[in-house]
Amino acid sequence: MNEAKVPLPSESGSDGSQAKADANIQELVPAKASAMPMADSIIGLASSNSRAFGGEVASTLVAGVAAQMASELQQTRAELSSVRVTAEASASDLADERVKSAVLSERLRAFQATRHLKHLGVAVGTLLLGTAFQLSRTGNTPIAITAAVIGALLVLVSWWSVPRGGDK
Amino acid sequence: MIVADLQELKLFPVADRGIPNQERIPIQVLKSTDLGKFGVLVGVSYYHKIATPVRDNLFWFGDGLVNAGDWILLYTGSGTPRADDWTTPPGSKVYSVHWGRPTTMFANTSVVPVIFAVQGVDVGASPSDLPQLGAIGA
Repeated sequence: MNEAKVPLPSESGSDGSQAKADANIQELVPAKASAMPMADSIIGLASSNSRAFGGEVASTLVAGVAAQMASELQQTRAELSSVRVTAEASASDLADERVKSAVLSERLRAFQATRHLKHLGVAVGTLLLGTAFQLSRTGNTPIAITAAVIGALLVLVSWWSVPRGGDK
Repeated sequence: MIVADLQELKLFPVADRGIPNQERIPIQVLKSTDLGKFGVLVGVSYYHKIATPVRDNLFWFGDGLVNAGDWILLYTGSGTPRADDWTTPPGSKVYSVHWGRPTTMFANTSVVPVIFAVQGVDVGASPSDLPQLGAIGA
């Protein structure tokens, strides 16, 4: 969508008397429609024209019933709202746990796939280190050093590449 | 209540929210129209493009013809109205008008301006004058 650029003239015409609103004062109050228009109408009708419901006693009873039903409805709505908030939080938690479960499953699969290779690396690395030790005794120092370096690298790489705990 | 979108005016996000004397509501004129049938009120927005009006917050532009391409900058503070020439599009104007509110209004991003168009009105009649003392019994 091609948005136009909002112009800003050099002069605004403002007289500079405006102050910053106090954040602690809630000046703007949202207009609210009558929450229970039918109950309000019945109660109003009962109080202003009691004969409409068959006399004072009957109209008081009708107004009371209407008020109680309205109150219960409001309470139920509040509870529903609260339950919805809880359900949304639970859904969010469930989504997080699913992500974590998927990550751990993937990590386990990768671990199982490379497990044998890692074990082989550790075994060969250890074997090379042992061989290097033996070679150093027989005087083949350059070969012994090479074997020791390769063996140590194999052991370290195999060790550090094994997935460990944690969720990252 | 669901009503149709306005075709003549387009609201842009409030500029310089919460900054005294600079906070303004930019409005682009899409079609030539008379501003007399439009007003701005303040709403609290909970969802995108849905707002509940706030009590006792209404601005009426007053009668005035604007053309497509013009801009209206409604400053929330007080000041003197201005009309400046603007180049994009050529020949357009920028009208700066002022709400006259003593404090800023839109520091809270949930508070949004709402433009509305009046489709019809019914003005309450003034009460008839009381009989003049001199006319009694005349």
